[in-house]
Amino acid sequence: MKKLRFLDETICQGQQNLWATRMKTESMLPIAPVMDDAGFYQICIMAPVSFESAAVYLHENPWDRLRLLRKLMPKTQLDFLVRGRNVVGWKRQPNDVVELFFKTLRKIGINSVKIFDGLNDYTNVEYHIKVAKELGFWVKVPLSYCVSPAHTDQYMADKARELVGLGVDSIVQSDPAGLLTPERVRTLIPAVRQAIGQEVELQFTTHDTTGLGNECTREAIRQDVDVVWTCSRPLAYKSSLPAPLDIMRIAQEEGRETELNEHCIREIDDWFRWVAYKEKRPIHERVKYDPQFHAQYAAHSIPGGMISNLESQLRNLGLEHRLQEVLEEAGRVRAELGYPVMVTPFSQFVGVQATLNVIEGERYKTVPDDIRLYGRGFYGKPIVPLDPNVLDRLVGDDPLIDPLEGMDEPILPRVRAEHGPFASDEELLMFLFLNPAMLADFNKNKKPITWDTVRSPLSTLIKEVAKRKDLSMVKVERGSLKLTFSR
Amino acid sequence: MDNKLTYDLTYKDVVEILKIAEIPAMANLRLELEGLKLEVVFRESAAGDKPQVMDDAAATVAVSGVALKEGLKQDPLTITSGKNEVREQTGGVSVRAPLAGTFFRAPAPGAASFVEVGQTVRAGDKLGLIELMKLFTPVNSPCSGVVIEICANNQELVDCDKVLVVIEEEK
Repeated sequence: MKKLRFLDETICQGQQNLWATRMKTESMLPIAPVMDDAGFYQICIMAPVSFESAAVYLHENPWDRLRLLRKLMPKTQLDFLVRGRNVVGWKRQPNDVVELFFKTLRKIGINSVKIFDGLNDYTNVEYHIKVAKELGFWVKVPLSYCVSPAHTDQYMADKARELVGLGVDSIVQSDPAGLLTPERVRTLIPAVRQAIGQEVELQFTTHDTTGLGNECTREAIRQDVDVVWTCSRPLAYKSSLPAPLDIMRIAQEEGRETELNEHCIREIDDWFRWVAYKEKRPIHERVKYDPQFHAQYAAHSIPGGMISNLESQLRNLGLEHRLQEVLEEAGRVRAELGYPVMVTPFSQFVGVQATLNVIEGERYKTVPDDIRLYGRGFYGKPIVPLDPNVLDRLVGDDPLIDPLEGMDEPILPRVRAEHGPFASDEELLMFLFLNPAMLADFNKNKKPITWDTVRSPLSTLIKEVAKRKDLSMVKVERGSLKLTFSR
Repeated sequence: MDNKLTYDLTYKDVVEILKIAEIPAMANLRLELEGLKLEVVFRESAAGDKPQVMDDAAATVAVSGVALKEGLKQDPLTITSGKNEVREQTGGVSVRAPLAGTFFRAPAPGAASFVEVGQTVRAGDKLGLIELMKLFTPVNSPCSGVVIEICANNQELVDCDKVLVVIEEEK
């Protein structure tokens, strides 16, 4: 079997899943050289949410973060996730913006992009794939799994074949909800592999949400996938990905060599342990598998973060005791809306509509505009057709929408004329991706990125102890080290 | 990596040491574990000294007589509640928020508001939008008439049932 390769998601999905995407660049840069030496095949360094979070909440220029990471990780392929038609942000962007964005990423030196569509509707991203390939990116497209009558092995295989036809370099069998089981992986991966042939790179990723993350990854490794995704231990498990040391051990048990340097991985894990402490983030244990929880969660598939959100909304109305009702209703709504993959924005659609249905006591009495648009085809072709009665409530007499309409009409000249001049393409793209309030906030509060180039547990200990005015003496003896600190 | 000092201390050790030193101990600590010796001496604290900052782990240590509220997070959003509002307008039809969220008076930033006081509306006309988790739900007029009051500001966080607009229904 081939050597198993690893894609690292610590500073991208890891912090998005577990740290509300609040990891600062100063926490990434000191460990970047070690990550570069660790033997990762690819490292994901940003996605739409971390772009926005950097600018809006951390007052950092995300483009600067990209440049700095590129500089400190010269050897490893760097990766960026793009959310289909939104690219980055929440507005749908036409083709000229997509092209400009990819060109800008290329200038910074990003090697690979993941192009994601929440309905697995690849006509939405055909243009993206074409342009990214022309610009020399290694193009990956996720094929998202969820639990539904529609998501058969055959459906997944057909979708994978479609992607090969579009010329992608890599297909990612992804499981954003963490609902795969090892039994399912055993049939799914071979079906997909059969459809795409031996030459196309097949990557695999799942989350530990239901406690099956490592075992599903083990099965995928057995089925000879090329690449698996992990997050450094302090940012692994729960709703995040498995940790690399654990997967390295599994790979060894399954007789597959890896390219990872264990010493570097331990150093990276150790560093993020410190960051977790500093940022007051808990480190999670692996979830314990519970078949009943798995079944309940599979029915509604609402991500944990959103469940907390819904819970707060219900609490504000004095209705938190109806959360179970909302989750059950979500199972029905998910089916009626054609089983979209439960990621943004579709997880919002299902969650919010279910909440409305329960609060109002009449189903589909109030429907958010975006859900009507979804019914009209604005986001693309649904995975399965919507329930006809519900579709009627959503759409009525409104005409269907072609999601590609207008996408090939350039907007950049007009944007430049009306809102320019822009100091750079980066500035222009930021204007397009952030709403006016966010952009104003960023421009008012942005600070240059600074970071401590000295990465040393010893100097950190001394600094931290020095801050503690209530301590008069600290003495540490560890191995060959003897340290006394006293006032 | 060439000229770096090598020693056995890891960040994991640093975190453990700092956590131990954060436990509010009235006495000094001397700790010996396998491979680690740690001694911590606290300064004699004067009365009225501020309590030391504690992280979540240390905060679970019970300290008699001291209630620790550091860990509690207050919701920074204040929400205007609508449940017990009573409208006194005669003939006024109260249009209430169908769900909690952010009320928008205009379709986009900088655009004209959907309605202003004094404006005539028909049943079904859009009066505003409520945003919840980035989804926008329209608030439509239940009847034809004249807008006599607008009770929520643009971008105000409103509770479910809060009266947003009052319409005087046409006879």
